[in-house]
Amino acid sequence: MEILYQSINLIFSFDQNLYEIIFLSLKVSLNALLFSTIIALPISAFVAVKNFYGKKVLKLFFNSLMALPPVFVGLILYILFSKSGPFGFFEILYTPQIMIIAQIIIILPIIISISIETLEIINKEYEDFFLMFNTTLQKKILTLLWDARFSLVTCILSGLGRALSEVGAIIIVGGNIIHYTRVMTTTIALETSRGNLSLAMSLGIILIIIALILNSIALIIKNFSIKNSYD
Amino acid sequence: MIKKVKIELKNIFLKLDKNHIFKNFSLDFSAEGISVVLGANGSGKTILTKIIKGILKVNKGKILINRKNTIGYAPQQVVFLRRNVFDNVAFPLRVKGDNEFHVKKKVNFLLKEFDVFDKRFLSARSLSAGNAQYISFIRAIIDDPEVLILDEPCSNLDEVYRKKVELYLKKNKKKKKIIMITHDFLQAKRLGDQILIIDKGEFKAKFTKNKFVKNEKSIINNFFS
Repeated sequence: MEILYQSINLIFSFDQNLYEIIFLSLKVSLNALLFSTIIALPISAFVAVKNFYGKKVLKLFFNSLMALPPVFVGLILYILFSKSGPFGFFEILYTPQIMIIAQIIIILPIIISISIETLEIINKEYEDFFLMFNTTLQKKILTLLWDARFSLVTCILSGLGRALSEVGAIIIVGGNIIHYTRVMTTTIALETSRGNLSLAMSLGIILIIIALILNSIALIIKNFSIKNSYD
Repeated sequence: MIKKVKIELKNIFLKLDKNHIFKNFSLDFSAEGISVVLGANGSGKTILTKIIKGILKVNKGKILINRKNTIGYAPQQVVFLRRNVFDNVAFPLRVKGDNEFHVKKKVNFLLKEFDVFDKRFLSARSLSAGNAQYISFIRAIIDDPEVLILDEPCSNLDEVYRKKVELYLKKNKKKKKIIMITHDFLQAKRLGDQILIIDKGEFKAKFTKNKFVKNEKSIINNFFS
């Protein structure tokens, strides 16, 4: 109980270190989410619309990548970007940039797989419609993305949730350097091992609050879409 | 000027889900006016419209139609985007890349012309069957196509809407080739310049309007009794 009291105190003391960690977490995860979304949505729409050889295998591949162990992603990136690795010349190991890359690799298949499922349902409804108006592939993709926008926000938010809670990959590639690559999850891991439970707990509480906010946004969007969609 | 468009189907073979829909089916439509296709349920009328429109590919045979002609199509099963009436009617123009000013002007004009301007912001998918069919018809003509294929366009319409659709068809039959599927004998008599009868995937007979009207009883006895 005392730990909980101390951690709440810490949150409301507006401790600079604590908020630095929170902001870096959000910065890394939101950047990863932005890039993942930009990459994922066109890919998902293309896969949903186009029939091509190997489509099922590709979907299976993306589905399998959803279960990719983050520590393994971290290890591979470490090998690739360490000084002796093939991409060592980029010199981004132990920087927020590589943490963003790691999170992109982890959440991209999640956003792609869930979005494909959402878009395929709408595409099935629209198949004849698209044929009726000789719709080009580009128009089909844009139409699907627009008409599924509310459902896609929920898909994207699930990616953000995964990014924020990720620890295995970013602790390897980021190195958990104070004031530079230390984020909420890596701090929780570190401070728990050190016995500094109040800081770990306060970050845990903030993570839960963020998760609550994300779910509330998802729910609001869902309700808004039910009210305002033309389904 | 009278618009002439030749549409012909030659030796069509089509199999769907192991069922032979058409076996060596041939049919040619008059190059102008309204061709009405009559036939019992399951005779292949809807599939015929999908073949002409290019939605269904045949297994064998030739469909002779100049694909450069714009083809408007109002299907029996109406499909709408998850958008409002305005956006659904505007879709064919937007696909073509028309500018938004032109799209707005044309869609609003046609919605007013057909007395459904007040429905423009309603969800298209929540319309009643009759309204949906009517909006689907408007969407088919929004682009002022040279060929118009209508699959039972009035089956769910009330008198007011039916009259509006028929008036449009009569007014425009010299400017475009119209192919219409119907079950309604009276409508076929009212609108058809050429009446074609198909049954169980086979072409049975072809009549001019006069011949059809003169021989109506024997046609009913021969093909629909």
